[in-house]
Amino acid sequence: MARHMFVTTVVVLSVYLGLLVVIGHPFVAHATGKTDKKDDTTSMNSEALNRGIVEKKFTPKLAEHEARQGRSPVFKGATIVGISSVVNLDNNLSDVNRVWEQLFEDRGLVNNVNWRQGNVNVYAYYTDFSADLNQATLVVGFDVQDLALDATSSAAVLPTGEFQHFSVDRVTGKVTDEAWVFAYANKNLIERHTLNSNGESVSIDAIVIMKEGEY
Amino acid sequence: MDLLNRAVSEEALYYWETFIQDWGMVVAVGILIIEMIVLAATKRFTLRVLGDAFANFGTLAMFFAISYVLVGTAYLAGFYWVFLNFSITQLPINGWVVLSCIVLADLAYYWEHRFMHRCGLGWATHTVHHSSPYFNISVAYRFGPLDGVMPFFFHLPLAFLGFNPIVIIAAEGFVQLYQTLLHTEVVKKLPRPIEWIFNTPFHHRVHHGSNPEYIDKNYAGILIIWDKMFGTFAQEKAKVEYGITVPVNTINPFKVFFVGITRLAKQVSKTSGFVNKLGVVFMPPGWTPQKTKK
Repeated sequence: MARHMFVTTVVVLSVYLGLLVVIGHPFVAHATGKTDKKDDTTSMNSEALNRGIVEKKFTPKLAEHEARQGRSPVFKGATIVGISSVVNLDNNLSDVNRVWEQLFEDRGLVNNVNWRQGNVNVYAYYTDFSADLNQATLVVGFDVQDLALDATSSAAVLPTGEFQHFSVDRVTGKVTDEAWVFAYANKNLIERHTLNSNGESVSIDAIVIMKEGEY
Repeated sequence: MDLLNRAVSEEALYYWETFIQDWGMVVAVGILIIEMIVLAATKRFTLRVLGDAFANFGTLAMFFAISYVLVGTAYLAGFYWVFLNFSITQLPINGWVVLSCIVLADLAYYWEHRFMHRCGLGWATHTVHHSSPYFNISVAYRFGPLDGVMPFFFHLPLAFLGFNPIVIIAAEGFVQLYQTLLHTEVVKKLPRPIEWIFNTPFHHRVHHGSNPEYIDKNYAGILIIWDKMFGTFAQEKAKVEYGITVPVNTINPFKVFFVGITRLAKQVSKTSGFVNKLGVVFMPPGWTPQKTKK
């Protein structure tokens, strides 16, 4: 019986450790020393870390959908599912807020998000700017990778290309004026809101695709 | 691989678990009808076989009543209590995790099943399942009163390891469904590689045999390799005599359902001494104080 207990323990440990390696569990990352230190923008919250939940932003060198092309960081367009609307950029965010509210009122979509997996990305994509730059089309949506089931809401593909990264005021949620200058010049701006499993904001950043193309 | 890495919500997994179990039942009933047709075609069909099948489903109804009403809530709550308070981590839900949990749940099932055969109390409830003198899919649904309780203790370590209770329940359900589909004589033998790795109707027929060489063999759920690793594997050679060594001889579902518990209670009452009574309850079936003295 002792031999059987030993064999059972070995089998259980083998399967379990194999699983931890395959899913990239933080236990393994810590044991092998392959983790990077968190920076200000990393979305790993300490509670989740203590509980060992695998979070997407555990290695914060490059965020999700980002890669390197030579020296240039490249954003690989995520597919997002959500709400699209033309918004007035000159009315103190009321149009923008309305679109955000519409997104979270879509309970079918919100309930389809894998909140328990860890952090979730929501993108706000400004495009099709009007000539006077007072209007743009805003698409707000969840990354399709964060959904449990195939979505029934409309989807949009964010642009792929070399990008410039900008910080966002976490208190006000406002993108810097510098970012808007680049956004107007390049006719696009992508806000990336990272929410934790409770739907609370963990980090916000913005990127502008400077050179769109296939990567 | 991408599919296995994709995160799955608790709700989605529960939906699929229910979907598979429900359709599993439909498939099982379909197989039962085919089995009855085969029996009729080979002139082996009797009203007794049909009555036995009804008794099997009768025990299933009583098993559900006990499991769902009395045990079900505590079962899941127990898993959650351990998962939320004592687990070493909390694993996400994706294909890899579900797959690993099925393998580990299958190993847990092996030991639980072995315990059910090698412990007086376990056998008292599990003997119901083995008491049918027939072997068809309805026998898979022939449950004893405590069959829904025992798995809890053997699957609880999975909650310690951080598997979400919904994943554990789904994995248990999958192993159980696989086991269910083994209860048939319609499938004779599968290709050798499958027979070598997986439990099959061919292997499971042996498990239901009352022939001395088949008793306490082939406990596996999905993977027969556990029996090979732990020395309980037996190949079918002689014709399998289904049932238990002391037959039940009734198709009354109430008598069938409580036969093991009744027999154990009688055995306990006629054994003298508290320690000896405990021995009857917890030692292997057939244990007596005299046997220990020898």
